[in-house]
Amino acid sequence: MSTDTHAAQLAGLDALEIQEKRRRHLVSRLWARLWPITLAVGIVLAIWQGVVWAGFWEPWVFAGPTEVFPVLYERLGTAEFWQAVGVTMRRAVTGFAAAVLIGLVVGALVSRVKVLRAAFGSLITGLQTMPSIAWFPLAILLFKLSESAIIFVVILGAAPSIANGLITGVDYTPPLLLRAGHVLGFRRLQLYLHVILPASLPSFLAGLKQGWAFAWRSLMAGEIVVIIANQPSLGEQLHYARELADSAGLLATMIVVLVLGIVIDLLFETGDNALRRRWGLRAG
Amino acid sequence: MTVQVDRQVAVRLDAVSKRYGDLLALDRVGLSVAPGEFVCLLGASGCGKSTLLSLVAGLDEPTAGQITTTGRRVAMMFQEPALFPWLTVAANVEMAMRELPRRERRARAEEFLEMVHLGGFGRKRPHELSGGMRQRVALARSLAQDADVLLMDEPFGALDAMTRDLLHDELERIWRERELSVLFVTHNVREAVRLGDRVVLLSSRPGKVVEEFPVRLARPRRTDSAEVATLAARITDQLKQEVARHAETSGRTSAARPAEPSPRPSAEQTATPPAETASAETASAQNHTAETVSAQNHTEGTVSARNHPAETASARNGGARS
Repeated sequence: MSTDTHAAQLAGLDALEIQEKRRRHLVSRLWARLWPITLAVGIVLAIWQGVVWAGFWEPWVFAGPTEVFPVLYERLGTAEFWQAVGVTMRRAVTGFAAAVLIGLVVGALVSRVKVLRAAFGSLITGLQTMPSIAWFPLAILLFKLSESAIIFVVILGAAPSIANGLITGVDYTPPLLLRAGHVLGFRRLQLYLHVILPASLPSFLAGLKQGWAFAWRSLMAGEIVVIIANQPSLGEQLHYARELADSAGLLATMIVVLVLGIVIDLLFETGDNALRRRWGLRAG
Repeated sequence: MTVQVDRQVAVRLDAVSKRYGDLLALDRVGLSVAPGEFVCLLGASGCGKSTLLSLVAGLDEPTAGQITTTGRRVAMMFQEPALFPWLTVAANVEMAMRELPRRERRARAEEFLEMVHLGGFGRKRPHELSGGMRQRVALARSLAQDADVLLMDEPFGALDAMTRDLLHDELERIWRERELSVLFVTHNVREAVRLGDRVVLLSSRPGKVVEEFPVRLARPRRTDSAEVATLAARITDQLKQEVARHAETSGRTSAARPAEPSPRPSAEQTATPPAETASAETASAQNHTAETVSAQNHTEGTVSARNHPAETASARNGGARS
């Protein structure tokens, strides 16, 4: 068989086996995502309004959507609200960034060094299950009623998940890729940098996402417990709304906390999806 | 043909044994691959074929014996492409040439991809290609290592027959052009005959060289040609007997020593071939019978099973016990 016909046959097989997958248009993709969310929000609002109408609680204890959304809308126009969101987000980002750094270092060391693995592996998993609110008494003793106390707990909430994500990723590096890396001449640190770390990226991302969820929870707990003067925050708003029996204000703040959490989770999901698409781990 | 002693050797195994706990995977295997030679390693499952390749590739250490590889580098291909999913096809090939400057690396990666008829696919991700194409990328990556010894562990086992046939042609062409020494592991007898200069038959548990079959058919061969089928049938018979004997020894009680290992017909050399190849067999039987050389008779411990069945059996048992 001549090389030309051979090449042609191969090219023919290749063409038959590859199908260009076209992605749908942005608008239709957005719509496909949006309508279930809209539906869910609608159902939740209906149930909420239904409970209010059922009259289990007095209207000033449990406000309905019709009272809450005007309050929320009004707040969106005030500087104080945005300052509170700013302070909370600053704490969240600072704490989470520090947690990522610590989680990376700890995860890398523990996944790499056998002795450390034996010593700290289960401790990290244990820390992950510890409720963050349980850290606050100690944090307040150590750092007084300060922002450091809040950040401390946020880090303790998020770092174990992030470290664990990396460790799991390293553990689940496909042995075949390790062998391939070895045959290509990678050893020790090089193998770690070029094969093991990239291979653990999906698991690390999952760890980041979970870490963020823990950080956000710890932060809200912290802001309710540790209230600092001249530092308006979302947690502080929750606290005062309860003190003042401002049901509409309380629920408005809760909606803000929920939406912020969802938006940031969506960012992680977008990153995760992009990665999966590039790696061919999911269709579409 | 036994390898001449004075000839330079690309890969050489001297009485290599590998033990995993109680399991003896390889028992004093002696084998050599001459420069530019294509050797196929054949055996049923559990014969330690893959173990043997891992040892040659340096992925694992032998328990005893010595492995020598001469030449620049040893590359290895696996049953699966083992491409890095986070890199593009071109970047995967470039991983093998890290010592080169970036621009040169790029250009050469494209060259290697063209060599496996995948020019222009460099920017794709591995998952966007078909199984056969991925395996060609893996081949390109192996070639990019500038290796002259290529170890292949059932590289086409997971592919459909048509793709496999084309890749056989492809591999043969590249093997010739680049004067590679190939050690090719397979459990597909026809594939072994299609590709190899020599087919080495391994026994199972422990893996041991039983016999070598030189393949003197003209190239390029076809997997479905009568000549290939005939020789493949003969090797298959031998392989089946190896497997059958295994069942018998394992079925025996320890009281009954396997002094007589299995019903080995002395007329085995003229064993009846499968019906569809009967005519071809009679035509070429004499040639091949003359060609069949017992494996490495000079190497201690590896005795041709065909000529000395009883000895082989005792050696096997001794190995398993030691």
